[in-house]
Amino acid sequence: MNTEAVTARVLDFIRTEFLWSDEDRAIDAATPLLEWGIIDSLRIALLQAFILNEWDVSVPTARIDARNFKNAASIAAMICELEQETVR
Amino acid sequence: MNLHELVIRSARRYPLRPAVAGEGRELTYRALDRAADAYARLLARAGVGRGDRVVLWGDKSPEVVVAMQAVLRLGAVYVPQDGTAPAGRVATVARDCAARVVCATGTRLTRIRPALDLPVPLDGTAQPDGTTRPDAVPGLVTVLDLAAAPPGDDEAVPPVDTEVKPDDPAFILYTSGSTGTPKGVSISHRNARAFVDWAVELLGAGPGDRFANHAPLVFDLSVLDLYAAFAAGASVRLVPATLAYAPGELVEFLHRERITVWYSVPSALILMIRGGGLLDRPAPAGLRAVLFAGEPFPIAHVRRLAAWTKARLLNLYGPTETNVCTWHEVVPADLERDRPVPIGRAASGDEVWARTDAGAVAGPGEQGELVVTGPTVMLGYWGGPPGSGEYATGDIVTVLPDGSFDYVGRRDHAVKVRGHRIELGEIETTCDAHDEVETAAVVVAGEGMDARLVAFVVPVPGARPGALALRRHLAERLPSYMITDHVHLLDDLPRTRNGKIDRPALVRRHLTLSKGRS
Repeated sequence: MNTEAVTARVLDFIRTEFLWSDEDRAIDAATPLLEWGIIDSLRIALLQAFILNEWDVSVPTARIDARNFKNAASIAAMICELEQETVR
Repeated sequence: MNLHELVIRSARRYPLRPAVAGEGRELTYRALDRAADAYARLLARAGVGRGDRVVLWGDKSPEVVVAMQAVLRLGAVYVPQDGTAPAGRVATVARDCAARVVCATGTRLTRIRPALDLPVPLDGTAQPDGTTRPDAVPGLVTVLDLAAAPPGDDEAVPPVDTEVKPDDPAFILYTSGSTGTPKGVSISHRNARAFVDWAVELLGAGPGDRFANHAPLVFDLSVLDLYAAFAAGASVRLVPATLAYAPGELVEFLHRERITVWYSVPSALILMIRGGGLLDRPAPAGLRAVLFAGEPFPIAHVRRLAAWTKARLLNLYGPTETNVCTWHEVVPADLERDRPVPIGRAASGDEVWARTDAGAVAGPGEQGELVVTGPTVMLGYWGGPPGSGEYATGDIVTVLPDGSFDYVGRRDHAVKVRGHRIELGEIETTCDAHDEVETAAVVVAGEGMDARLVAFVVPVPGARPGALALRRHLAERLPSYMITDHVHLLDDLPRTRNGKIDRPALVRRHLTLSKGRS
């Protein structure tokens, strides 16, 4: 699994689902998603469903915290880690 | 007896019982009592005396609770600020209440200084011995480390128990203000005690109880969790703010901490049901009461909760200005309704009635604005004139045949989004402060859990402010629950015939765009 590709896909999802009303949607891998109110608890639940659907990776509740969902890069890193754990 | 004496009394009666737990630490009543005395001495050295305001800015932790108690013991007034609040907002609040001291933790200690225009200290932010020499300049706010609170095992600390009058302020809770500036609701010892004593009696709370503290300490819901527990010699278990994103963890918390009294906004319970599997496990045997407040709880979820637990289900109502002024205990007949359970009848020794547009007292079947008088009604807004003793809530209610009340909705632009009371005007004013914004209107689209804050922005000529830049602008100035979910740019705002912004048209426009997208 390629972290960069996962990051790009996560960004795509966020742009399409959460930022559809924005003209610029100029977020990048480091944009602080929680801090700027782009995601909240409900949207994290939607992201969880997306991650399961897209990569067959289930995010355990213990991993749902402000650190893992800080930005698209941290979300992608978590997905790759979880995927590795599943493979092992 | 005043508010701070609850811990002092319970420390005498139950010294070794757990008082407060959070962030992996637990303090007994004795430890809390001694730590509060020790921290009170630090605050006194920083110049805090009776009536002074002390801002407490940090994540929910036993240290913050210690600091609250310390402030009260000096006869001073604490002003809690959420750990996630931006430094600029904390500074605005500190200036508004003319705080003597701002207590903070970690990087907040350094972030608050420039926000307050304070000089950078020459030798560290807080002195190890608790003195604050570098900051102790007349007219300047002192910054103190919350973590400087000693562990609470020092027997040599003499007790601090400044005499205060029941009508002296105990704490100030800042709420969203319609003029764009947050408003400080000043609550006296008498106000808080009237509610706490009522709640302890209603719940039959005792030393064996374990209260969950779900609400942030800046919200009035937390007054019950903390002080009803302290009054009863019970224990309060602080729910970390990070669990707001993890419904499964919240459910786990409820079981692991053996919570007997749960109090939160309905949104939190719905999240636990939908995303945390709350109802998939049997209800904890010790759970005696589930209290909810802050917004209407859809009846379908109340039915599911009632089928899940034998615990009492209690709907509490009241704005920050009055704390809880009405209550209703869910009975089987309520579950047959097709609307949320009633907000019920007067609580906490208050008197409540509905006032019609004509100024008369509304009778059964009639609607009016809920008005409150009595011991829980605030002293007034900080810096404003004293309260008249009567508070018109801005909430429209229907009077039921038995004289109790059913909530209908708000009469002004204040809205509730997932339990948070928000003055849309405050978000609009903050949007307007952006360099590239000519004017903005903010509306709520959708209902209940699906409610979204939507900004419609008219840019200054020639500008095209980015939605993300605007979000960032808001995030630096407002609490996270006030950041708009969507931003639309418009050439002009639609107006009604009398020139007012046509808000329903804006809501329709957003919903149409949203629908068209899906």
